[in-house]
Amino acid sequence: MRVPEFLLWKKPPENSISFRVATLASVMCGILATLYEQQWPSFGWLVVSATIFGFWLSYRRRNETNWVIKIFLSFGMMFALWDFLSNLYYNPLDPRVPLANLLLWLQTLHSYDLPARRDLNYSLTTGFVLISVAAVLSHDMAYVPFIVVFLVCALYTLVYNYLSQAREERRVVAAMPDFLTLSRLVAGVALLLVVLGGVIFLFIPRGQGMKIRPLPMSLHLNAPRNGSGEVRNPSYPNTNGRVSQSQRRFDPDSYNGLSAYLDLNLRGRLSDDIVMRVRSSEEAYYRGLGFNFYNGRGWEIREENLQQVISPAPPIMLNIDGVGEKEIVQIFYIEKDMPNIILSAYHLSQLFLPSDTVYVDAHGGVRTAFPLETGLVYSVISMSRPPRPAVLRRLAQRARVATSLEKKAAALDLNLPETVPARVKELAEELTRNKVGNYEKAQAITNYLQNHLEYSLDIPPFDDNKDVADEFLFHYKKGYCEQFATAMAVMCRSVGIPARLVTGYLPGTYNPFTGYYEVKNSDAHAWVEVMVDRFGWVEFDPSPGYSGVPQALSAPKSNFVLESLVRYMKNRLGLEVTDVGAFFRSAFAALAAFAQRAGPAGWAVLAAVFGGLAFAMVAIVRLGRRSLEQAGGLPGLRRWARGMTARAGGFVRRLGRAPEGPRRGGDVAVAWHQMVDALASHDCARRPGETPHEFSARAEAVIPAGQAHIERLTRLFEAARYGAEPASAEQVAEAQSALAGLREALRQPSPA
Amino acid sequence: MIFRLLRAFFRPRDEWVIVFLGAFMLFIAVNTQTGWLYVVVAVLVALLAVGFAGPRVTLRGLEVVRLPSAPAWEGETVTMRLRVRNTSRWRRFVVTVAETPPFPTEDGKPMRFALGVIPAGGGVTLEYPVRCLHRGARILGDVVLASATPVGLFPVSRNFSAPGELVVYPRGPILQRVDLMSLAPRSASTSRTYNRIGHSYDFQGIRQYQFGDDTRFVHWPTTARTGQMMVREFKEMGAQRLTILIDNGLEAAVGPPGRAALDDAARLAASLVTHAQLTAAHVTLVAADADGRPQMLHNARGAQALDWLARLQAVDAPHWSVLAREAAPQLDRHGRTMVLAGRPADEAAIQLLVAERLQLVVVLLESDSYAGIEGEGTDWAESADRLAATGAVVRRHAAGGDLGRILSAGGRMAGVRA
Repeated sequence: MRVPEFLLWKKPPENSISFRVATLASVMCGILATLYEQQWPSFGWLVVSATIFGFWLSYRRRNETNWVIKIFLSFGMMFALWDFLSNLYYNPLDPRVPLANLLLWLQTLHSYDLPARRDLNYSLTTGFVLISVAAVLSHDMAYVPFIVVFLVCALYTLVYNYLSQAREERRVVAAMPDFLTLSRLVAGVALLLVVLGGVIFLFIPRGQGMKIRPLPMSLHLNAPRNGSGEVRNPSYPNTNGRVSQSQRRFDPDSYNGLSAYLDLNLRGRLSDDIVMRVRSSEEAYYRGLGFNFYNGRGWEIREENLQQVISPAPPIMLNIDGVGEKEIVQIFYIEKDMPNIILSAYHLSQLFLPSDTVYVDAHGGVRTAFPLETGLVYSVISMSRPPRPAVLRRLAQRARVATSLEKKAAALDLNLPETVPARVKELAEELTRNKVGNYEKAQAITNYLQNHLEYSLDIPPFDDNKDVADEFLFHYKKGYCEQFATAMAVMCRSVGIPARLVTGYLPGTYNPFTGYYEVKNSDAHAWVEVMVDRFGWVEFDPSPGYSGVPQALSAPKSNFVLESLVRYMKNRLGLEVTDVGAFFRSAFAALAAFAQRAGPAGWAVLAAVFGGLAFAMVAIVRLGRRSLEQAGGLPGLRRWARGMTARAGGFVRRLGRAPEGPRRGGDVAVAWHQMVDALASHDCARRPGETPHEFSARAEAVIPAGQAHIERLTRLFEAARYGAEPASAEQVAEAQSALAGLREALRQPSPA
Repeated sequence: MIFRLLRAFFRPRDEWVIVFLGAFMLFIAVNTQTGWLYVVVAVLVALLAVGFAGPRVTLRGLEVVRLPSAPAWEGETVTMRLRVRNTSRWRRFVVTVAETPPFPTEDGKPMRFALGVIPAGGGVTLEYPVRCLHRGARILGDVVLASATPVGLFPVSRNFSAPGELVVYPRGPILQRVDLMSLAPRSASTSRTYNRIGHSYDFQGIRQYQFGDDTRFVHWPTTARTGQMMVREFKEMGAQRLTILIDNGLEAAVGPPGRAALDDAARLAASLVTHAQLTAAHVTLVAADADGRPQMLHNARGAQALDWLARLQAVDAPHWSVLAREAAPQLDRHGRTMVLAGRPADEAAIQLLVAERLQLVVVLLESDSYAGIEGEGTDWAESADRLAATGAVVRRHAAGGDLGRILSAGGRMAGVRA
């Protein structure tokens, strides 16, 4: 019986040097990317040089049996496996790095046994796996050059592989394409892949994922574990609430909300440096500390009842203020030294930390015995409890006995200093009149604050002798998150609702490429937790422009990356999509930073990338010119463009028919947003953080002709958006009438 | 089945490897929320899309034209030529061409070519030599063009029609001196060859013109009187007229390709036609057509006769004696009739032949030996004896024998075994 060809031990040798060089280049891309993302471990150069030598030796000995080499390779593979297993034994929670190292060694060893085409194909597959491993390890945009160069090299490899197949057992008649011709072909295919891949990337749905355990965490700690659980923020030492003017020094690199005392009169802008990157299954606020004691000028943590929680093996099981039904998994990569406070989505349940001990205070704060140093990785699982207003209203209407959590909150989170003037309480009572239950009352206060006070980071320090909440509500009427949160907490307490101020960070900017939420210093934030009857603590964010109820953040999140990409361009790079110049400045700065970080190799990679781009551009221009000639010149091109436009129009129209999710506020909100869009096209765009009321006032000044319509529509929108009842059909009709009237007014020529 | 499964496991197709890698990376991307892996997955999907569309686009606008090949003799090597034309506006890269050659190659595989670049609006000509193993008219069919450009994924192949024909003439032995008269027992034996037909021969009569008759012998007065073309016939001319009746029944075609009795008959006929052309003799070829009726080629000469012989195929024909009887009215009874028979003649056949009173030379090509059947050859011997008894000249020939000796004095005579 004849043995099938694919089972034969001996394979025909591959003689193409070009094919081998292209494969080596692809593999080297994968290796370099993985080594770079691992901060170039000590064996990096060994892997690189041994792989290159292996490829050379494989080519020289491609016709030999190489038994001796194979025996050595077997031993080498056993060593790599032993190295992998031992690394995994020491760090079972994060197999990524041991796995990456195993793949690196396997690739290195495999490069010594590449006699045939099939072996080179296996090498390309390993190179692809390595570049994917680097993708998992990557935190930033420095991965871009690697994947671009890999794409080009892999295309060359695939094309050479195909040429090798085509030559096999065939007579070559017309000469095979030379390198230049092949390069044109590769450039065209690469361009096509980038464009097509980009479109596909935008429309790949992103699942919530993160279902596989265990979660990663750092293996070792550099900082000593000598704390006792007290809050330790080097920039803001604990002063027990007594802060002199000389001690009031603002540190732009550290948020004072993550310290034992939150001074509300400290002014300054936090830097835009990234403090951490977070992988999160849901978009959520990162909660740090809860403050319960308000002294009129700031917040303190009192009666913290610090409890030590010990767990000999991860995870550390916690139960912060009860657990809900919605699981949120988060992995934190600390990029800058931070205080010893664990940040997580609210209702922390499990903590994977390189420590067996944490401390939990009575206000939901979790602290470590060591500061969170740069490079630390920890993971959390939170069980969130999104509030359901209808259910909460029903619960509030029932006669009941206070729960233990409510009793505790009543004892800890209701006190107010005597410095708080009565008008604060009067305002709170007025706002919460006729509201049922704490949730509706807190919602009413939130709506008031979001719509009637201005968000501004540029405010002067308030008078030290006056109550901050009162000054903010009745005198300055502008402030930032801490003033808004303080005002809300004070107002809630004044009407008997237990409330506390919470500090932490906003979700940050989602980077659709890396998959991380990039959290900057300036994302530091303060908000409020309110005790809701028979439910527990509910987060409220009264700052204008932010979500009123942070737990509900994830509900409207898009699964598609397109929206995230636009948001990323706008927020992370600090530019609008149309600001092309700024985009390129940012991109070049990022590339230069990468090259400086990587040294000569980085510059070489950069040069190769730009060389490739230049080549691709030349090829595109030549291709375009030729296409134009062959398409029949400009008239032909116009015909083609008309056809494509018609097709694209049809596609967009079909997309437009897809059902949209309900907009909060219903059709009135839709009309209001249409008004905002209409005004934006008349040089009156809504500013970030501007409340509808503020925007309305400004718009009326800019466009006097539409004053009545704008005012009417804004009033309707506020009622529908923030009111307890949905808009009636009459209100919707009125809103649409106002919108039509405004559009008519905008069409009229200006008096000037 | 097991081999196919093993092969799928050990040598999976590249597309499936990419699909598997893409699915795996998507799983990892979703689970770890790694954005770059989504990029990787998107590029893989794009690669599959380009890999799928590329080969199909590549084969668009391609045409295959077969350039004609001159007829060849058995054993000769001819060059087959194909031209792959690119009628599109773009160059085409790496197209493979496969064709089953008219005669099998040494390794038995089809001819396979790889075309590197086919210029836009241009073409590439493929040439390959073919050794013509045996006579026949080989119909050349489709050519298979395949491509997996640009990245070797989703290879696609299409059949392109490239009609053509390769005619291979039968090559028989070279006959130096054959006296057709010597084959006739009732005529005086002579060694003269007649290079021309002169007026000194005895006038025999006037008959209707047949295709191939020399126009010098048109008898114009009779032609004018009857309105039909009439020719004079001389007594000596009969000796120069030869009818070759080839038995192309199915039994005569038994044997390996090119080595059947029918092939030897065609070779022998080709030799006679060539020789007759040199001697200005008049040869008529007769064989059964697809319906079993006699088909005839009068005045068989040169390429026309060789082409006729090349195309001669075995059919479900009646016995050659029946064919002879049916063709007899159109045959010249004064000339010789040579039967190249693949079947022996039984008593009934003898009766038929006797009734027709033909001057027969019968070459019995013993088809049993061509088929590789060992036997006593009794039927053939008896047949030869019976035929000889009617006055026919009979020669026997077995497979592997020297065809050239059949018509010479060394050939086996009736009833004599070599």
